[in-house]
This record gives sequence, structure tokens and C-alpha cells, in this order.
Amino acid sequence: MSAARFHPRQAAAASLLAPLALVAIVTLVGANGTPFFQGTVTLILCNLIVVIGLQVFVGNSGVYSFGQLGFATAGAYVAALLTLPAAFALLQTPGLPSFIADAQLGALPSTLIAAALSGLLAIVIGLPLMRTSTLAIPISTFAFLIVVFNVVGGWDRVTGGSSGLVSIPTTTSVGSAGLWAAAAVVLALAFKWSASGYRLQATREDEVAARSIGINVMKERLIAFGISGALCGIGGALAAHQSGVLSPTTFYFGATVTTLTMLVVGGARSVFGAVIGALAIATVNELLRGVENGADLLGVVSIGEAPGLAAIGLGLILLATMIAMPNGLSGGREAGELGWLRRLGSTPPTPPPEPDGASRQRTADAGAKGGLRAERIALAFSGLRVLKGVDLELGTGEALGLIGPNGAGKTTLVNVLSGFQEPDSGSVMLDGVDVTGRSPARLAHAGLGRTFQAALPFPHLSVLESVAVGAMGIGAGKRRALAVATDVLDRLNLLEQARQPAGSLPPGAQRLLGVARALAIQPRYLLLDEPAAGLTEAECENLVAILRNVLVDFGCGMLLIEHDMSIVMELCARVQVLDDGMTLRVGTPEEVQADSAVIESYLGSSFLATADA
Amino acid sequence: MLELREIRVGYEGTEVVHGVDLSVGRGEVVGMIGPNGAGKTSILRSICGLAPPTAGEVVFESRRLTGMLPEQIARLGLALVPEGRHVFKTLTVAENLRLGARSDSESAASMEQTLERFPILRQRADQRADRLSGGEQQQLAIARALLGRPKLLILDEPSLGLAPKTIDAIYELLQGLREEGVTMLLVEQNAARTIDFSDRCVVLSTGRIRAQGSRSELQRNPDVLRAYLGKQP
Repeated sequence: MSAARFHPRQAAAASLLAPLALVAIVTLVGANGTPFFQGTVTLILCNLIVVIGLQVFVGNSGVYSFGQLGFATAGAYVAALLTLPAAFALLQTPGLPSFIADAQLGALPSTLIAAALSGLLAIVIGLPLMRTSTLAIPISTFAFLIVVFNVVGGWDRVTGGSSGLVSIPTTTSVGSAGLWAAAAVVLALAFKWSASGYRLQATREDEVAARSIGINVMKERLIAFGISGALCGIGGALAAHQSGVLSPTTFYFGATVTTLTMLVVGGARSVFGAVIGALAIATVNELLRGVENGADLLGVVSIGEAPGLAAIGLGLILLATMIAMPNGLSGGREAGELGWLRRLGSTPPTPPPEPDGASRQRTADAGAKGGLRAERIALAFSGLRVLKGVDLELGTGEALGLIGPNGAGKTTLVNVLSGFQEPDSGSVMLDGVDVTGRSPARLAHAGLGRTFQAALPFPHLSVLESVAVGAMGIGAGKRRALAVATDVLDRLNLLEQARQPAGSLPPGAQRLLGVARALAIQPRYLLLDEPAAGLTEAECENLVAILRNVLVDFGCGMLLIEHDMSIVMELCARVQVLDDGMTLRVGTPEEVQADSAVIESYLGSSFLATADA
Repeated sequence: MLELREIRVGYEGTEVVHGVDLSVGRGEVVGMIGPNGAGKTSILRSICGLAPPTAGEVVFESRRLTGMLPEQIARLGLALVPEGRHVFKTLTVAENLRLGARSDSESAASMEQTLERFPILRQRADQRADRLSGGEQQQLAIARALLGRPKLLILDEPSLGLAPKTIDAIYELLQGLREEGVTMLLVEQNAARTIDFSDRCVVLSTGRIRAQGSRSELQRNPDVLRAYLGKQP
């Protein structure tokens, strides 16, 4: 058992047990009610499973899908058709192949098959949809929802068409729905805390930074989309087996809006939020519906029938919640991360017991084969030539300073080297392999790490998770990622803050965290874009000391864009000066600093006198 | 005309501008230069009310701006031409300009005057703003600001992302404005040109003023080079 964990034991237990306890309470209360009440509670639990399914995709990816209820529809129909009694099947779905019509499976196998098929459908549908942009996914998934509605509604002989199905066996009890809901909670949390779950959350926090640490955004979204589809399918299947009737409108616009609202009100980033959102809104909804039909309040005031009260009341509650708590009731936190529980286990993780030699293996065995080389890189943006044929060479174990006045093309060059920008001409060679035009994620896997001028933190992940996800980005498992992250944080003096949300660190520490995250991919070459910009003098000194240690400990090649010559001189033996998209000089820091052409590029020719003085 | 007294600006508890004094007199052109992260844009934001200073005060024509809303400050006659131009891309050039004018009655006359000054905008009056080149968009942003008849024109990085020839054209335009007596505060990373153009320059780095004065004064001051290239060995 490793000493370090992502979540202190008590916090992880609380995060798991709190939503399970809520599910258990609702199940027990429901089981002891009237048959009608039991039915209501069972449907609420089925709905909860769908909301948890939504959380897996929407909460972890930060991308809205309006199509997940299409998978609930698919699951519901699969389960219903597999269980429909033969006589009713013949009547309602004459076109159904006999092996399905005659199957008449039990509740459990039909639900499992529904889960598998709706999950498979989600993968098939997701393959093209997840390739579309973050903004296009809500629209394309919405289109999918409409397609499902039309297929199910129009395929009369197989699905019963728009009139739907009746006499589906009502096998779902409060107890079985409660068990499935509990399983959904466990599955959703297990996914969220898996390496794949962390990679997906990183894309939600900052897509650009996620790509820079090797994460394939499309792939991670697709995995969650599939799991989400399967969970929604289970919710749909159980609901069909509760009410005994099913139509194409059962899981359509209305249900889509309701379940998304539950997720958002509860706080989409956490499974706990999904659970409390679904249960709170369902409860309020039922209460308001009661009042809608006329009620006595405490026997004092009696209200007559008030149609529409439920909808209006719910609307007002939602509005008030979203204004007062924009992150939802849970604040987007799991139960174990809430303030009063957090104190239980906020001790920093312990660094790995023995120095983790494997973490730097890759740097050690490289080196020999040529380094990072850019040749004659040229790039223009709408006619403006930003780079006009730049060469650059960086070996492992050395630090190269890249300086030059604003607009010289420094950041653009780093973007080309790290795959964020494809050059118009020229090539980038990484240890003798031509990598020109490769994606940032692939370059990260090949050993190229970078930071950005802005810190680009993952604000809702902890410091420890933010760094560990860097190792996960290039394929490390959780335990290994944890070891790498604690090691890196220890070296960068950030271990004390490991449990804090990354967004709560001061800007200086956030920049350092950006360096830590890039180091977690164990790069052979590390590109740092103005790591010291805006730092105080004390923070600068700290940064220089840390970067010097990084050079020694990690043995990677370091490209440092930096204005402050004192920092460059401390770290770099060689400096390359860019001006107007071309290399002006390459030399030692002293040579460059006294070079008249360099001073002229910054301040104009009239300043040469100052340099001589 | 504009005076900053010991202003400090911070975000989420971290101070990025540590007590800066600055004054701009009527008809003067003042430049503010310094490397990335120096705090130039933060100072501009605090003048315009977008990021109120945490300490110190901003006074414009003996009125305290501290605590006023950005739109109130704009109405006093402070016009900001923001970094990256921010023209209304899907509107035509003429529509962009009309939005800059103070009122319809004034607009006809001043519009004519402005189009006189920016012949390229007259040619392109009916084109969508996003069809203009970067330099033309910059001209449009300046023209839009001028239509509000500002007393003080604040320009944030007017040369950013433009080709050298286009930068020449923009500065020629600014020279014309200066000859008409327009007061300007010019913020640039492009140090050489700003020092040449301005009556007086302030050199900032990491939130503090490192040097200031006229071109010849700055040329004698080694702190200027230090602000850009760091401590001399």
C-alpha cells in the first residue's frame, strides 16, 4: 500500500458513503410507504441513475450533452422488448424478430443487456460526435436525441410507434432501484477517480494545457460518453419496468431539461452534487404537486387548487439557487471535500520513500540521439510573417535562453516546437525523428513538455491531482502518477499545498505548478514561456533555484523564454536572440547583453550610448 | 489633466502594481513602456474603472475617478482604444463609427470630420469590420474613440500584431492627432518607437516605475536597459 493517496482515507470514505447513505435513506423510506408512494420513489431512483449517468460525461468533461436521454430511451426499449409477454408482443410489435419476442428475459439480464447495448450505441454515436468541437457537441447530441425520437416513434412494427408500449412487466421494486442507484454512485466515483477520469477532468479545466501534457481530448470524452450512455440505459430500463408503459416521449425534451437541471442545481462536477440535485428537486417537485391539488398548511391556511404551481415554484427555486450558488448545492465538491470534512485529513502526502529512479529513466537513456532541432521554420499569419526561417538547437542537459523584443516571434516558435502551430515550411526534429505537424498530445508522449505565459491551472483539481494528471496524460496508472507527482512537488517545495485546490494558490505558486505539471510528463525537453513574468523578486529567486535543480535532477533540455538577463545568466550557457522573426545572435549571455544589435532591437539605435557608459 | 497618486492594483490578493505615480498634462503625449508583466495594462484598467485600485487615487480634471463605473468615466471624456482593437466585427464600418458617437445630432458633423481624417474608412464604410486588415481595424478603433470627442485618448498597444509598414501608418495618424493638440497616454511594448514618439516616457517593470523622462533623459539612464534586459552582470 503506497503511503500517499489522492484523497486522505477519511475524505475518500466520506465522499463515497455520503451519497450512498442518501440513496439508502430514500430507498428505506420508500420501501415502507404505500404502493403508490413506493412507485413514486422507485421512479425518483431511476431518474437519479440517469442524472448520475449525465454527471459522468457532463460533469467530468464540462461539455453539455442534450442527447443522453436518447440512451435512456434505447435502454428502456431494449429492456421492454426483451421482457414483453408473448401475447402482448404479438399484438404491439408484430415486426419484432422472434428471437427477441420470445426471449422473455428476467429483470436482471434484460437490464444488463440494455446497459451494454446503450453503452455500445453511445460509443458508435460518440465516435463522430466527439470529434466535433466543444461548442458543437451540445448541438450534435441534441440532434441525436431528435433522431432517436423519430426512429422509435416511426418504427411502428418493432417499437409500437408513437402510441408506445403497454403491459411491460413491472419488475422494478424500490429495493432493486436503490441497489442499482448505489451501484451507479460507486461506478461514477470510480470513473471520476480513475486515470481516465482525471484526464477528462483536466480537459474540462483547460483544454490547451491538457493537450500539452499528452491528453487525447476526443478519446477521453468518448470513454465517458460510453459509460454515461450505459448508465442512462440502465435508468431507462428500470423506469420502463417500473411504470409498465413506455412511449417515445417518456425520455425526451421534458426529461432532458429536468435531469440536466437536477445536475446543474446539485453541482455538476461532483457525483454528490448529482445525487443531492436529483433528490432535492424530485422532493420539491412532489411537494409542490401535492399543493397544486389543494392542501391545508398546518391545518391553518387552506389553499385551493393551483394548477401550474409546481412548474412556477420549481422555476423560482432553480433561479434562486443558480444566483446564490452558481456552483450548485454541493459547490461541485464531493462530500469528503466539503469544508467541515476536509479538516479530517488535510495532512500533505508523504513523498515516495526511496528516490524514484524510474521516473527519470527516460531522460537518462536519451541524449545521445540529436536533441530537439528546428530547421528553417517559417510561419505567417494572414500575410504577416512572424517567423522567417529560424533554426534552433537544444540538447538534453543544457539550458538555452530565448530572448528578443515583443513581437519577435518567441512564443510562436515555442508553439511550433510543441505542435500547437504547424509551420508553413521548415521542420522540427526530435531525437532524429521528424515530428513536424504532430499534435501537442503526441509530442508530449514523445518527451516534449511546455508551460505557457499564463499559468493555465486546473483550478478545481487539487495541486496533487493537477500534477499527477500530467503523468497520467502520457499513460501512467494512478499509483505511478501519484509517486511521480509527490516526487516532483517535493522537489518544487509545493508538497505542503498538495491537497489545496490548484485555483486557490497565489499566482507565483500557480506558475510553479505549471512547471511541475510539465515535469510530470517526464520530458526530455522542457519549453518554458516566460516563467518569471510578473513574479516578485523573491519568487524569481525561488524559481531560479528550482529551475537549476530541475536541470541537474531531471537532466532534460530546457528552453527558457525570459526577458530578465539576470535569470537567463543564472541558468543558460547559451542565449539565442530573435528579432522580427529571425535569429539576430546566438552567444553567451554576456556577449548578447553587450551586443549593440541586440540593444538596438529592444530600444532603438539611440540607446547604444547607454550600453557603452 | 490626469493624475495617478501612489496607486496599487491587485487581483485576488496579489498586488501587481506597487504604488505608481503618473501625470499627463493637457496636450501632452505620455508613453508607458516596459516588458511583459510590468503592470501596464493593470494601470490602464484601473484608470478606466475596470480594475479599481486597491490603494491610491486616480484624479481626472480634479475629479476623483476612484469608485466610478467604467461608463461614467468614459462619459467624462476618457477614451480607451483597447489592446487587440475590439471593433464590432459583424457590424459595418459606418455602424461601428455611429456607435462611437455621443449623440445623433452631433454625429453627422463629427462623422464627416472623422471620415475626412481616415479616408480608408470612408472607402470601406459599408464593409463589415472583420473584412478590414489589422491596420484598418486599428484605425477604425481609434476613429470610434475619437467620435466621442475625448479629452484624453488612451491607446493600449496600438502596434500589436501589425506589420512594420502599417505601424508607420498608425503612428503617422497619431502624429496628426498630436499636432491638433489631442492629449494621449500611449502604452506599448514597442519601446523604441514609443520613446521616439512621446514627449515623456515612463518605464515600468514588475509593477514599479524604473525610469522616466524625455528621450534624451532616458538615453542617459542605465535603468531603462536594466528594465528590459535585467540586472547587468
